[in-house]
Amino acid sequence: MTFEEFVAVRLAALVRYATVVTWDPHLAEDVVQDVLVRAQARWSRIGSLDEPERYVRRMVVNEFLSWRRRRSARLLHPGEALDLPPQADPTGGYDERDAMVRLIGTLPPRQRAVIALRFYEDLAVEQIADVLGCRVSTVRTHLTRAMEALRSPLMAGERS
Amino acid sequence: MNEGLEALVRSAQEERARQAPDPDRVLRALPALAARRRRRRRTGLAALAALAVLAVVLPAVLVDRTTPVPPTAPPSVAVPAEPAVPTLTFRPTWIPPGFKETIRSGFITADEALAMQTWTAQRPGVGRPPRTDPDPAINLGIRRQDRQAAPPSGTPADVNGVTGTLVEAVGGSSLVWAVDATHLATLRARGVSRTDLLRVAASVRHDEVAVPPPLKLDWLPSPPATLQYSLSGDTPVDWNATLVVDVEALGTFTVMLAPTTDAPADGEPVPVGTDMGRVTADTDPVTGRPRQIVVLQPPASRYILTVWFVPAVGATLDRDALLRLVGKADTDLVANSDWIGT
Repeated sequence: MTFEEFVAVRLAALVRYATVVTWDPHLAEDVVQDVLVRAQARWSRIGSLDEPERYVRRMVVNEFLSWRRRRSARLLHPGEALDLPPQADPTGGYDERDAMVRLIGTLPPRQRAVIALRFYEDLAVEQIADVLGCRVSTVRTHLTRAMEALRSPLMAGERS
Repeated sequence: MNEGLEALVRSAQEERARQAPDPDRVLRALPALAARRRRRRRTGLAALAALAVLAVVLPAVLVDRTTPVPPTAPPSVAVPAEPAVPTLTFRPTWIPPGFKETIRSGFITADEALAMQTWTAQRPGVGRPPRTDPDPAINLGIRRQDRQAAPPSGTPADVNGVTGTLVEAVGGSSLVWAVDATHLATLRARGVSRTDLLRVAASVRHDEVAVPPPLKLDWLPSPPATLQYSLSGDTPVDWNATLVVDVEALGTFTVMLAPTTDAPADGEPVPVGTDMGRVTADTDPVTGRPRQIVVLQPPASRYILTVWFVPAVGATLDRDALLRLVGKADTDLVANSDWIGT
Protein backbone atom coordinates (compact mmCIF):
# COMPACT_ATOMS: atom_id res chain seq x y z
CA MET A 1 0.00 0.00 0.00
CA THR A 2 1.38 3.39 -0.98
CA PHE A 3 1.10 6.41 1.29
CA GLU A 4 -1.42 7.95 -1.08
CA GLU A 5 -3.53 4.79 -1.01
CA PHE A 6 -3.39 4.70 2.77
CA VAL A 7 -4.51 8.31 3.04
CA ALA A 8 -7.28 7.86 0.48
CA VAL A 9 -8.72 4.88 2.32
CA ARG A 10 -8.01 5.58 6.00
CA LEU A 11 -7.75 9.34 6.51
CA ALA A 12 -11.37 9.88 7.57
CA ALA A 13 -11.15 7.11 10.18
CA LEU A 14 -7.79 8.41 11.37
CA VAL A 15 -9.16 11.91 11.87
CA ARG A 16 -12.14 10.56 13.82
CA TYR A 17 -9.79 8.48 15.95
CA ALA A 18 -7.56 11.49 16.66
CA THR A 19 -10.60 13.54 17.62
CA VAL A 20 -11.67 10.95 20.17
CA VAL A 21 -8.14 10.61 21.56
CA THR A 22 -7.52 14.35 21.88
CA TRP A 23 -11.17 15.32 22.51
CA ASP A 24 -10.38 18.50 20.60
CA PRO A 25 -11.12 18.67 16.85
CA HIS A 26 -8.63 21.50 16.30
CA LEU A 27 -5.84 19.70 18.10
CA ALA A 28 -6.78 16.48 16.28
CA GLU A 29 -6.36 18.21 12.95
CA ASP A 30 -2.98 19.53 13.99
CA VAL A 31 -1.83 16.16 15.33
CA VAL A 32 -2.96 14.21 12.25
CA GLN A 33 -1.26 16.64 9.90
CA ASP A 34 2.02 16.45 11.79
CA VAL A 35 1.85 12.67 12.00
CA LEU A 36 1.08 12.24 8.30
CA VAL A 37 3.94 14.47 7.25
CA ARG A 38 6.31 12.40 9.36
CA ALA A 39 4.77 9.12 8.23
CA GLN A 40 5.08 10.10 4.58
CA ALA A 41 8.79 10.72 5.01
CA ARG A 42 9.18 7.21 6.48
CA TRP A 43 6.57 5.40 4.41
CA SER A 44 9.02 2.99 2.78
CA ARG A 45 9.43 1.42 6.22
CA ILE A 46 5.94 1.98 7.65
CA GLY A 47 4.23 0.74 4.50
CA SER A 48 6.10 -2.53 4.68
CA LEU A 49 4.74 -3.33 8.13
CA ASP A 50 1.94 -5.86 8.53
CA GLU A 51 -0.33 -3.21 10.00
CA PRO A 52 0.78 0.25 8.92
CA GLU A 53 -2.43 1.81 10.22
CA ARG A 54 -1.75 0.48 13.69
CA TYR A 55 1.66 2.12 13.60
CA VAL A 56 0.21 5.44 12.44
CA ARG A 57 -2.44 5.32 15.15
CA ARG A 58 0.27 4.78 17.70
CA MET A 59 2.06 7.82 16.29
CA VAL A 60 -1.13 9.84 16.82
CA VAL A 61 -1.35 8.88 20.49
CA ASN A 62 2.32 9.47 21.13
CA GLU A 63 2.20 12.82 19.40
CA PHE A 64 -0.77 13.82 21.53
CA LEU A 65 0.95 12.74 24.71
CA SER A 66 4.34 14.11 23.81
CA TRP A 67 5.56 16.91 25.95
CA ARG A 68 4.72 19.58 23.40
CA ARG A 69 1.20 18.30 22.82
CA ARG A 70 0.67 17.58 26.48
CA ARG A 71 1.12 21.24 27.07
CA SER A 72 -1.59 22.07 24.57
CA ALA A 73 -3.88 19.46 26.01
CA ARG A 74 -3.38 20.79 29.50
CA LEU A 75 -4.35 24.21 28.32
CA LEU A 76 -7.62 22.82 27.12
CA HIS A 77 -10.27 24.14 29.44
CA PRO A 78 -12.85 21.73 30.72
CA GLY A 79 -15.80 22.37 28.51
CA GLU A 80 -13.83 24.15 25.88
CA ALA A 81 -13.67 21.00 23.86
CA LEU A 82 -17.19 21.27 24.11
CA ASP A 83 -18.31 23.76 21.60
CA LEU A 84 -21.14 21.43 20.79
CA PRO A 85 -24.52 22.75 19.72
CA PRO A 86 -27.27 22.25 22.26
CA GLN A 87 -29.54 19.39 21.39
CA ALA A 88 -33.17 18.72 22.00
CA ASP A 89 -33.71 16.05 24.59
CA PRO A 90 -36.85 14.08 23.94
CA THR A 91 -35.75 11.09 25.97
CA GLY A 92 -33.26 12.27 28.54
CA GLY A 93 -30.53 10.23 26.84
CA TYR A 94 -28.96 13.23 25.18
CA ASP A 95 -28.61 14.97 28.54
CA GLU A 96 -26.51 12.15 29.92
CA ARG A 97 -24.46 11.83 26.77
CA ASP A 98 -23.78 15.56 26.58
CA ALA A 99 -22.79 15.53 30.22
CA MET A 100 -20.42 12.68 29.44
CA VAL A 101 -18.96 14.59 26.49
CA ARG A 102 -18.18 17.45 28.84
CA LEU A 103 -16.83 15.19 31.57
CA ILE A 104 -14.42 13.36 29.27
CA GLY A 105 -13.04 16.76 28.27
CA THR A 106 -12.07 17.37 31.90
CA LEU A 107 -9.96 14.20 32.18
CA PRO A 108 -6.16 14.46 32.15
CA PRO A 109 -4.74 13.74 28.66
CA ARG A 110 -3.40 10.33 29.62
CA GLN A 111 -6.75 9.16 30.97
CA ARG A 112 -8.53 10.58 27.92
CA ALA A 113 -6.22 8.58 25.66
CA VAL A 114 -6.65 5.40 27.69
CA ILE A 115 -10.44 5.45 27.54
CA ALA A 116 -10.25 6.21 23.80
CA LEU A 117 -8.08 3.15 23.27
CA ARG A 118 -10.19 1.01 25.58
CA PHE A 119 -13.69 1.91 24.46
CA TYR A 120 -13.38 3.52 21.02
CA GLU A 121 -10.67 1.18 19.77
CA ASP A 122 -11.74 -1.79 21.92
CA LEU A 123 -8.13 -2.58 22.85
CA ALA A 124 -7.28 -4.81 25.81
CA VAL A 125 -5.30 -3.22 28.64
CA GLU A 126 -2.22 -5.19 27.56
CA GLN A 127 -2.46 -3.71 24.06
CA ILE A 128 -2.97 -0.24 25.50
CA ALA A 129 0.14 -0.68 27.63
CA ASP A 130 2.04 -1.62 24.49
CA VAL A 131 0.78 1.47 22.65
CA LEU A 132 1.61 3.81 25.52
CA GLY A 133 4.88 2.17 26.48
CA CYS A 134 3.95 1.70 30.12
CA ARG A 135 3.04 -1.09 32.51
CA VAL A 136 -0.30 -2.87 32.41
CA SER A 137 -0.88 -1.85 36.02
CA THR A 138 -0.40 1.79 35.04
CA VAL A 139 -3.05 1.44 32.35
CA ARG A 140 -5.43 -0.15 34.85
CA THR A 141 -4.82 2.72 37.25
CA HIS A 142 -5.55 5.34 34.57
CA LEU A 143 -8.65 3.45 33.51
CA THR A 144 -9.95 3.09 37.05
CA ARG A 145 -9.35 6.73 37.86
CA ALA A 146 -10.94 7.88 34.62
CA MET A 147 -14.05 5.79 35.16
CA GLU A 148 -14.33 6.97 38.74
CA ALA A 149 -13.98 10.58 37.62
CA LEU A 150 -16.73 10.02 35.07
CA ARG A 151 -19.00 8.07 37.39
CA SER A 152 -19.04 10.35 40.42
CA PRO A 153 -20.59 13.45 38.84
CA LEU A 154 -23.22 11.37 37.11
CA MET A 155 -24.18 9.66 40.35
CA ALA A 156 -24.27 13.01 42.09
CA GLY A 157 -26.56 14.26 39.34
CA GLU A 158 -28.85 11.27 39.78
CA ARG A 159 -29.03 11.82 43.53
CA SER A 160 -29.97 15.46 43.08
CA MET B 1 -23.43 0.40 36.68
CA ASN B 2 -20.14 -0.23 34.87
CA GLU B 3 -21.84 -1.52 31.74
CA GLY B 4 -24.13 1.47 31.66
CA LEU B 5 -21.23 3.82 32.21
CA GLU B 6 -19.16 2.17 29.49
CA ALA B 7 -22.06 2.38 27.07
CA LEU B 8 -22.39 6.06 27.88
CA VAL B 9 -18.66 6.60 27.33
CA ARG B 10 -18.85 4.83 23.96
CA SER B 11 -21.88 6.90 22.99
CA ALA B 12 -20.06 10.12 23.93
CA GLN B 13 -17.01 9.02 21.95
CA GLU B 14 -19.11 8.29 18.89
CA GLU B 15 -20.68 11.73 19.29
CA ARG B 16 -17.25 13.31 19.57
CA ALA B 17 -16.03 11.39 16.52
CA ARG B 18 -18.84 13.00 14.55
CA GLN B 19 -17.29 16.38 15.43
CA ALA B 20 -14.06 15.41 13.65
CA PRO B 21 -12.60 17.96 11.24
CA ASP B 22 -13.12 17.60 7.53
CA PRO B 23 -10.54 15.05 6.21
CA ASP B 24 -10.33 16.95 2.92
CA ARG B 25 -9.18 20.05 4.79
CA VAL B 26 -6.54 17.97 6.59
CA LEU B 27 -5.43 16.58 3.24
CA ARG B 28 -5.29 19.97 1.52
CA ALA B 29 -2.95 21.31 4.20
CA LEU B 30 -0.45 18.48 3.87
CA PRO B 31 1.61 19.67 0.85
CA ALA B 32 2.33 23.06 2.43
CA LEU B 33 3.11 21.47 5.76
CA ALA B 34 5.42 18.91 4.16
CA ALA B 35 7.22 21.64 2.23
CA ARG B 36 7.70 23.63 5.41
CA ARG B 37 8.98 20.51 7.14
CA ARG B 38 11.50 19.92 4.31
CA ARG B 39 12.76 23.48 4.61
CA ARG B 40 13.17 22.97 8.31
CA ARG B 41 14.98 19.70 7.82
CA ARG B 42 17.55 21.39 5.61
CA THR B 43 18.51 23.57 8.53
CA GLY B 44 17.59 21.00 11.14
CA LEU B 45 21.01 20.22 12.46
CA ALA B 46 21.94 23.85 12.50
CA ALA B 47 18.73 24.72 14.29
CA LEU B 48 19.21 22.10 16.96
CA ALA B 49 22.80 23.08 17.49
CA ALA B 50 21.77 26.69 17.80
CA LEU B 51 18.99 25.71 20.15
CA ALA B 52 21.40 23.85 22.35
CA VAL B 53 23.54 26.94 22.52
CA LEU B 54 20.43 28.95 23.15
CA ALA B 55 19.62 26.77 26.14
CA VAL B 56 22.95 27.68 27.59
CA VAL B 57 23.15 31.36 26.85
CA LEU B 58 19.54 32.38 26.38
CA PRO B 59 19.15 34.05 29.78
CA ALA B 60 22.05 36.33 29.10
CA VAL B 61 20.55 37.25 25.76
CA LEU B 62 17.19 37.90 27.26
CA VAL B 63 18.41 40.20 29.95
CA ASP B 64 19.34 42.54 27.14
CA ARG B 65 17.06 41.93 24.21
CA THR B 66 19.18 44.14 21.99
CA THR B 67 22.00 41.64 22.25
CA PRO B 68 22.39 39.85 18.93
CA VAL B 69 22.69 36.13 18.39
CA PRO B 70 24.61 34.22 21.06
CA PRO B 71 28.23 35.23 20.63
CA THR B 72 29.42 31.80 21.65
CA ALA B 73 27.63 30.07 18.77
CA PRO B 74 30.13 28.24 16.60
CA PRO B 75 30.84 30.35 13.50
CA SER B 76 30.13 27.38 11.28
CA VAL B 77 26.60 26.96 12.62
CA ALA B 78 23.94 28.85 10.76
CA VAL B 79 21.60 30.45 13.25
CA PRO B 80 17.99 29.98 12.23
CA ALA B 81 15.64 32.91 11.90
CA GLU B 82 13.65 31.28 14.67
CA PRO B 83 13.46 30.55 17.54
CA ALA B 84 13.04 34.12 18.52
CA VAL B 85 13.24 35.38 22.05
CA PRO B 86 9.89 34.92 23.82
CA THR B 87 8.48 38.37 24.39
CA LEU B 88 5.10 39.58 25.46
CA THR B 89 4.28 41.61 22.36
CA PHE B 90 0.75 42.45 23.48
CA ARG B 91 -0.75 42.99 26.89
CA PRO B 92 -4.21 43.88 28.19
CA THR B 93 -4.49 47.25 29.85
CA TRP B 94 -7.56 46.21 31.84
CA ILE B 95 -8.11 43.14 34.00
CA PRO B 96 -11.19 42.48 36.17
CA PRO B 97 -10.86 43.45 39.84
CA GLY B 98 -9.55 40.67 42.04
CA PHE B 99 -7.25 39.14 39.45
CA LYS B 100 -3.47 39.36 39.87
CA GLU B 101 -0.77 38.49 37.39
CA THR B 102 0.85 35.41 38.88
CA ILE B 103 2.40 33.40 36.04
CA ARG B 104 4.60 34.32 33.09
CA SER B 105 5.83 31.53 30.92
CA GLY B 106 7.85 30.96 27.77
CA PHE B 107 7.92 28.16 25.25
CA ILE B 108 10.64 27.52 22.69
CA THR B 109 11.00 24.92 19.96
CA ALA B 110 13.14 24.94 16.83
CA ASP B 111 10.48 26.91 14.98
CA GLU B 112 8.37 28.61 17.59
CA ALA B 113 8.85 30.91 20.55
CA LEU B 114 6.01 32.33 22.53
CA ALA B 115 5.33 33.95 25.84
CA MET B 116 2.15 33.78 27.87
CA GLN B 117 0.86 35.56 30.91
CA THR B 118 -1.76 34.45 33.38
CA TRP B 119 -3.84 36.31 35.93
CA THR B 120 -5.47 34.35 38.71
CA ALA B 121 -7.98 35.20 41.40
CA GLN B 122 -6.25 32.91 43.88
CA ARG B 123 -2.59 32.66 44.73
CA PRO B 124 -1.00 29.72 42.91
CA GLY B 125 1.30 28.90 45.82
CA VAL B 126 4.89 27.72 45.65
CA GLY B 127 6.68 24.40 45.92
CA ARG B 128 5.43 22.76 42.73
CA PRO B 129 5.29 23.79 39.08
CA PRO B 130 2.23 25.98 38.50
CA ARG B 131 -0.91 24.48 37.12
CA THR B 132 -1.64 25.58 33.59
CA ASP B 133 -5.34 25.52 34.23
CA PRO B 134 -6.00 27.41 37.48
CA ASP B 135 -9.53 28.48 38.19
CA PRO B 136 -10.60 31.26 37.99
CA ALA B 137 -7.98 32.57 35.60
CA ILE B 138 -7.33 34.67 32.53
CA ASN B 139 -4.58 33.64 30.14
CA LEU B 140 -3.28 35.49 27.10
CA GLY B 141 -1.08 33.89 24.47
CA ILE B 142 0.09 35.38 21.18
CA ARG B 143 1.29 33.35 18.24
CA ARG B 144 2.09 34.02 14.62
CA GLN B 145 -0.87 33.57 12.32
CA ASP B 146 0.84 30.95 10.19
CA ARG B 147 1.10 28.70 13.23
CA GLN B 148 -2.66 28.35 13.51
CA ALA B 149 -3.79 25.10 11.95
CA ALA B 150 -7.40 26.06 11.50
CA PRO B 151 -9.77 28.71 12.76
CA PRO B 152 -11.80 27.48 15.69
CA SER B 153 -15.52 27.13 15.39
CA GLY B 154 -17.60 29.39 17.57
CA THR B 155 -19.57 32.62 17.74
CA PRO B 156 -18.33 35.76 15.95
CA ALA B 157 -17.29 38.47 18.41
CA ASP B 158 -16.13 42.02 17.74
CA VAL B 159 -12.78 43.10 19.17
CA ASN B 160 -12.03 46.70 18.27
CA GLY B 161 -13.55 46.25 14.82
CA VAL B 162 -11.94 42.87 14.17
CA THR B 163 -14.17 39.82 14.07
CA GLY B 164 -12.87 37.14 16.40
CA THR B 165 -14.25 33.78 17.40
CA LEU B 166 -15.72 33.25 20.82
CA VAL B 167 -16.18 29.76 22.23
CA GLU B 168 -18.19 29.62 25.43
CA ALA B 169 -18.61 26.41 27.35
CA VAL B 170 -19.37 25.20 30.82
CA GLY B 171 -15.77 25.11 31.99
CA GLY B 172 -14.53 28.33 30.43
CA SER B 173 -14.40 30.55 27.40
CA SER B 174 -11.86 31.40 24.77
CA LEU B 175 -11.60 34.20 22.28
CA VAL B 176 -9.32 34.14 19.25
CA TRP B 177 -8.76 37.18 17.08
CA ALA B 178 -6.16 38.75 14.82
CA VAL B 179 -4.50 41.27 17.03
CA ASP B 180 -2.52 42.62 14.08
CA ALA B 181 -1.62 41.55 10.55
CA THR B 182 0.73 38.78 11.68
CA HIS B 183 -0.39 37.68 15.13
CA LEU B 184 -3.32 35.82 16.61
CA ALA B 185 -4.27 36.40 20.21
CA THR B 186 -5.88 33.65 22.25
CA LEU B 187 -7.55 34.82 25.43
CA ARG B 188 -8.79 32.06 27.71
CA ALA B 189 -10.85 32.66 30.79
CA ARG B 190 -12.46 30.66 33.53
CA GLY B 191 -14.76 32.20 36.08
CA VAL B 192 -15.00 35.43 34.07
CA SER B 193 -18.14 36.88 32.50
CA ARG B 194 -18.46 37.28 28.75
CA THR B 195 -18.63 41.05 29.17
CA ASP B 196 -15.38 41.10 31.11
CA LEU B 197 -13.70 38.73 28.65
CA LEU B 198 -14.55 41.02 25.75
CA ARG B 199 -13.45 44.05 27.75
CA VAL B 200 -10.08 42.45 28.47
CA ALA B 201 -9.70 41.64 24.77
CA ALA B 202 -10.61 45.17 23.72
CA SER B 203 -7.95 46.55 26.07
CA VAL B 204 -5.09 44.55 24.52
CA ARG B 205 -2.38 46.83 23.22
CA HIS B 206 1.07 46.42 21.72
CA ASP B 207 3.83 46.12 24.29
CA GLU B 208 7.33 44.69 24.50
CA VAL B 209 8.23 42.83 27.66
CA ALA B 210 10.87 40.14 27.61
CA VAL B 211 10.09 36.95 29.46
CA PRO B 212 13.50 35.59 30.36
CA PRO B 213 14.02 32.02 31.54
CA PRO B 214 14.63 32.19 35.28
CA LEU B 215 16.99 29.20 35.24
CA LYS B 216 19.45 27.62 32.87
CA LEU B 217 21.30 24.36 32.50
CA ASP B 218 24.93 24.68 31.56
CA TRP B 219 25.07 21.05 30.55
CA LEU B 220 22.67 18.61 28.94
CA PRO B 221 23.32 15.05 27.74
CA SER B 222 21.83 15.88 24.31
CA PRO B 223 20.46 18.97 22.59
CA PRO B 224 16.96 19.93 23.74
CA ALA B 225 13.94 19.67 21.47
CA THR B 226 11.79 22.05 23.48
CA LEU B 227 12.18 24.39 26.41
CA GLN B 228 9.38 25.62 28.58
CA TYR B 229 9.76 27.78 31.62
CA SER B 230 7.77 29.90 33.99
CA LEU B 231 8.11 32.28 36.85
CA SER B 232 5.09 32.14 39.11
CA GLY B 233 4.12 32.86 42.66
CA ASP B 234 2.15 34.78 45.21
CA THR B 235 4.33 37.83 45.76
CA PRO B 236 7.59 39.24 44.38
CA VAL B 237 9.47 37.33 47.10
CA ASP B 238 7.49 34.07 47.11
CA TRP B 239 7.93 32.45 43.75
CA ASN B 240 8.71 29.33 41.77
CA ALA B 241 11.16 29.33 38.91
CA THR B 242 10.57 26.34 36.65
CA LEU B 243 12.36 25.09 33.56
CA VAL B 244 11.18 22.05 31.59
CA VAL B 245 13.54 20.65 28.99
CA ASP B 246 12.43 17.92 26.62
CA VAL B 247 15.23 15.90 25.05
CA GLU B 248 14.06 13.70 22.22
CA ALA B 249 14.48 9.95 22.79
CA LEU B 250 15.88 10.60 26.27
CA GLY B 251 13.17 12.18 28.39
CA THR B 252 12.00 15.30 30.17
CA PHE B 253 13.87 17.27 32.83
CA THR B 254 11.89 19.56 35.11
CA VAL B 255 14.02 21.94 37.15
CA MET B 256 12.41 24.01 39.88
CA LEU B 257 13.76 26.58 42.30
CA ALA B 258 11.34 27.36 45.12
CA PRO B 259 11.21 27.87 48.89
CA THR B 260 9.71 24.38 49.28
CA THR B 261 9.44 21.15 47.30
CA ASP B 262 6.83 18.44 47.07
CA ALA B 263 9.48 15.81 46.29
CA PRO B 264 9.44 12.80 48.64
CA ALA B 265 11.19 13.58 51.91
CA ASP B 266 13.32 10.43 51.86
CA GLY B 267 16.36 9.73 49.72
CA GLU B 268 20.03 8.88 49.59
CA PRO B 269 22.53 11.68 50.36
CA VAL B 270 24.80 12.43 47.41
CA PRO B 271 27.46 15.06 46.70
CA VAL B 272 26.47 17.53 44.00
CA GLY B 273 29.46 19.69 43.19
CA THR B 274 30.56 21.10 46.51
CA ASP B 275 27.13 20.71 48.12
CA MET B 276 25.20 17.74 49.46
CA GLY B 277 21.89 16.79 47.94
CA ARG B 278 19.70 13.72 47.97
CA VAL B 279 18.45 11.35 45.31
CA THR B 280 14.97 9.91 45.49
CA ALA B 281 12.26 8.63 43.15
CA ASP B 282 8.51 8.44 42.68
CA THR B 283 5.98 7.94 39.88
CA ASP B 284 5.17 10.70 37.43
CA PRO B 285 1.43 11.37 37.83
CA VAL B 286 1.07 12.32 34.16
CA THR B 287 2.89 9.50 32.38
CA GLY B 288 2.78 6.83 35.08
CA ARG B 289 6.50 6.27 34.56
CA PRO B 290 9.08 6.20 37.34
CA ARG B 291 10.98 9.41 37.72
CA GLN B 292 14.33 10.18 39.26
CA ILE B 293 14.53 13.17 41.57
CA VAL B 294 17.45 15.15 42.93
CA VAL B 295 16.91 17.71 45.68
CA LEU B 296 19.56 20.26 46.58
CA GLN B 297 19.51 23.19 48.96
CA PRO B 298 22.54 25.37 48.45
CA PRO B 299 23.99 26.71 51.71
CA ALA B 300 22.79 30.14 52.73
CA SER B 301 19.90 29.96 50.33
CA ARG B 302 16.26 29.76 51.30
CA TYR B 303 15.45 28.27 47.92
CA ILE B 304 15.52 24.56 47.16
CA LEU B 305 16.52 23.20 43.78
CA THR B 306 14.54 20.15 42.67
CA VAL B 307 15.16 18.27 39.42
CA TRP B 308 12.77 15.60 38.16
CA PHE B 309 13.71 13.35 35.25
CA VAL B 310 11.11 11.24 33.44
CA PRO B 311 12.74 8.98 30.83
CA ALA B 312 11.24 8.45 27.39
CA VAL B 313 10.02 4.96 26.57
CA GLY B 314 13.03 2.62 26.58
CA ALA B 315 15.49 5.36 27.58
CA THR B 316 17.69 5.50 30.64
CA LEU B 317 19.97 8.08 32.21
CA ASP B 318 22.67 7.09 34.64
CA ARG B 319 22.91 8.80 37.98
CA ASP B 320 26.24 10.45 37.25
CA ALA B 321 24.78 12.21 34.23
CA LEU B 322 21.78 13.39 36.23
CA LEU B 323 23.97 14.67 39.05
CA ARG B 324 26.22 16.42 36.56
CA LEU B 325 23.19 18.17 35.09
CA VAL B 326 22.02 19.24 38.55
CA GLY B 327 25.47 20.51 39.37
CA LYS B 328 25.41 22.59 36.21
CA ALA B 329 22.03 24.21 36.94
CA ASP B 330 22.50 27.95 37.21
CA THR B 331 20.12 29.35 39.81
CA ASP B 332 21.49 32.87 39.96
CA LEU B 333 19.52 34.18 37.03
CA VAL B 334 16.08 34.70 38.43
CA ALA B 335 14.49 37.45 36.44
CA ASN B 336 12.55 40.46 37.58
CA SER B 337 9.76 39.26 39.83
CA ASP B 338 8.29 42.65 40.70
CA TRP B 339 5.18 42.01 38.63
CA ILE B 340 4.13 38.90 40.60
CA GLY B 341 0.88 39.47 42.41
CA THR B 342 0.22 42.85 40.83
